[in-house]
Amino acid sequence: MTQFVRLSRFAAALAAIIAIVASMRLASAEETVRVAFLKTLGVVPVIDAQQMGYFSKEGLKVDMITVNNGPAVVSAVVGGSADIGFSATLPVISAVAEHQPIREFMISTVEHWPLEEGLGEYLVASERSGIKTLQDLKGKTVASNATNGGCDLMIRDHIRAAGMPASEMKMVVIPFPQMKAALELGTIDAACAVAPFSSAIMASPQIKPTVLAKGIIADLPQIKSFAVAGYFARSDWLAKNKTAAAGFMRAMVAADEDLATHPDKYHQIIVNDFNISAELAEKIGFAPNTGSMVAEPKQLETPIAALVRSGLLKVAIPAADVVFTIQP
Amino acid sequence: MNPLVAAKRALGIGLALLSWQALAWSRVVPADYFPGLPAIAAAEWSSLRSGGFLANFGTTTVRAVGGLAIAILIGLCLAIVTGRYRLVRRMLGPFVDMLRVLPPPAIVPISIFVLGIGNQLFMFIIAFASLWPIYINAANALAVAEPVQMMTARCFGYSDWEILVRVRLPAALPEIMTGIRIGTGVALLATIAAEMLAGQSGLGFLLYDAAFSLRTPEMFAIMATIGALGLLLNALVRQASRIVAGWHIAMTALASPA
Amino acid sequence: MTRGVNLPGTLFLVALAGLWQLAAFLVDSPTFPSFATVVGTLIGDLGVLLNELGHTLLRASVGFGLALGTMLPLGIFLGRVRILGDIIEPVIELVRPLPPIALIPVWMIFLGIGDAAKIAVVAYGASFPILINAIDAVRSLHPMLSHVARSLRLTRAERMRFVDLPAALPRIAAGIRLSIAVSLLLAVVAEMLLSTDGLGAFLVRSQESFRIDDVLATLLLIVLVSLVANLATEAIQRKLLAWHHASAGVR
Repeated sequence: MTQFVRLSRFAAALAAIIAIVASMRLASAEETVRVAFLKTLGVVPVIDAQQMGYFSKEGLKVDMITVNNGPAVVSAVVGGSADIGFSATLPVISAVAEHQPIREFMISTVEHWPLEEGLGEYLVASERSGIKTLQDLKGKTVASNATNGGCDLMIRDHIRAAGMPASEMKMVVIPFPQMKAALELGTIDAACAVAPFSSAIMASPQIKPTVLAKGIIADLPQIKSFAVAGYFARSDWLAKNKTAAAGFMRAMVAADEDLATHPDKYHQIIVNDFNISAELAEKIGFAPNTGSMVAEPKQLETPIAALVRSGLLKVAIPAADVVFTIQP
Repeated sequence: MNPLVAAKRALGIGLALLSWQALAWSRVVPADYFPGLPAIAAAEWSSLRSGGFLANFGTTTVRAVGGLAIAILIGLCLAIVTGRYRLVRRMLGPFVDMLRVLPPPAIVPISIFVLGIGNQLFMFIIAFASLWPIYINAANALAVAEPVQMMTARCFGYSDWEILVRVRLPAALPEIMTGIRIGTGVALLATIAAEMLAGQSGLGFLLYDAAFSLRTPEMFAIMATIGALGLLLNALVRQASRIVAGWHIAMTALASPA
Repeated sequence: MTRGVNLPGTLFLVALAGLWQLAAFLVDSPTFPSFATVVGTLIGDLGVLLNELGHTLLRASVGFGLALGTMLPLGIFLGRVRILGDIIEPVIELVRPLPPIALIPVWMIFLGIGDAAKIAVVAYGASFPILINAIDAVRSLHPMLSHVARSLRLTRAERMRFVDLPAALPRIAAGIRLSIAVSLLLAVVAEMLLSTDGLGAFLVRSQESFRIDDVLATLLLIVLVSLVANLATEAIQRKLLAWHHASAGVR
């Protein structure tokens, strides 16, 4: 029996060693900047910056982590798996409203009216659903990609403007890549999507979509611009890594300039990284960010107001609470 | 293996594959969504040839085994303590009953907040999920004290700890191994679930990705791979069971529970 | 675990709740709600949560019912007709290691994202414990029973209903209890991935809105409901099977 005891102790120790070694090897212990993304067009400049070496010029090594949706990006940053996150401004605002310690420090995408071709949020309905106007959505199933994301706001704001309460529709959550399939199969009647997913949906012969609404909020034509997406990080990280954050911003500005002067590169990256055909990619417009990407509180006032109006945010929070200003 | 048994097994599997193919051919469901076996096999083959697939297979396996190892370690240590001190077992009882009904996928969202989406997340979720069957089976087995064995041990002058380790622990081995076998299934389940919900790598993530982009042959191929991995792990544990506890089962001629 | 009040166990739980409260107070972070906050949220949201629970329970019950209704007769049949059982069982063993969650995308493709898909997920997962236990239970029945049935000239169906089923009940009951637990679990998981409504969807939505207290409250509710379901099935089993000779040592 002592033999057995010895064997079992050995086995236990071995198991412990295996477990510890395995978790050590797997644990990330790099000093680079980890950036978490929702995989939409916003990542194109980052890929470009990576390819052109703009990051290394600033002394940074960027690790790209792809996540499924905006709120997941926030969770990744809050939980410490990423240092910087790219997502719509809206989940960030919601997170700050729930006292999460993150701050927006770069606004990289501003939605302008009129929308560039293919860009912006599209609310489309399939032909088989028989929906032709926003009012027809009553009792139908509409998909967004995540609660509290850009599409969630877009749907709610447009139907609010059309005088329909959100409770009259069935809102479901489906990741962007799946929306086209769901529309084709009739699983959902309508969906909100962004490029390049919206472009694929619009081109689908099985869906024959009707565009019900465009743009992140209903009065975008009046307001003219809406800070739609940007980069954020934990406040303590920002306080300690101002130079890294500033370097990141400079690299991104350089990438935007590069893409503005070489639009074919833009389409090339879309084709390579998003599995989209070249003809479809050509249809996606490019709206390079001009001017500074420094996040200013007043840019977030419209998003905050829109969130409150649509009921996604209970109480407005001061825009200054959401922003951490970094000067490049 | 008995040729008759082998024949029956082959017949069963053959019939199942045939029915699948028949369904696919009949086009009762659009071909896009119910690919025939050749399409699935082709997808599996091209996946295997791509280095990325094997890497993901490895990732899933390492995670499952790593988490399982942690669960075995903690579960057995805990069970040994509870075996020695009955009060501890009564104390932990309701607590364990509460934690083990938590569905592993349900704790993924909250764990992401605390642990992020790195490997700590996976280790925690997998270990947490597989801990319970292992601990519960081991604790139950150690709670039994066979009178004749106990009296014999006392005659030898064994202390309480010695009795536990030299007598009750070996006697509990078959049930402990059953617990580990169940735990292995749970570990794989938790790994796949976590990868589907929060991963960027591993078979679960590949499955989620293929499914939601409607690449159905690939999706079924990945599912077959996951099933194969489960079978493999199960077989490994069964073999370990035979080595560790085979003498016990043979001696007591107990049919091991399914 | 239901022999009288478990005093040490209860005290331990109370102590844990207290520790949680203290830790939350010390850490004082929004990511760490205190026990009291979570309970408060649970009570405050009770209306919404019970509504979602209703959806979840509906799917779990229908799925379970489907599994029970189909797999129980099938299992008894396969256990009896040895040849068929021997042929089909390898297929079952092949499919079993695949976690039901991995099949959710399949159901989604065939059945959409509504109730049908979720019920299918539940029915699929709940089938295995019942089927496997039924086959095993009938297989290990005392041979004398089939002799008795034959001498009474019972038809096959009568034998299955009046002899096999009652004799195999304890083993089958264990499978049914496992199946019930699995049904509830899979209903929640299906709702997490096919996010329309129900506790699973509520969980994911709260997570996405960073309402941690809601997330924890939902988890607490899931635990409570599972515990109640467990206790209820245990009690029912004891009542219904008290007459059975094998119930002497049933837990």
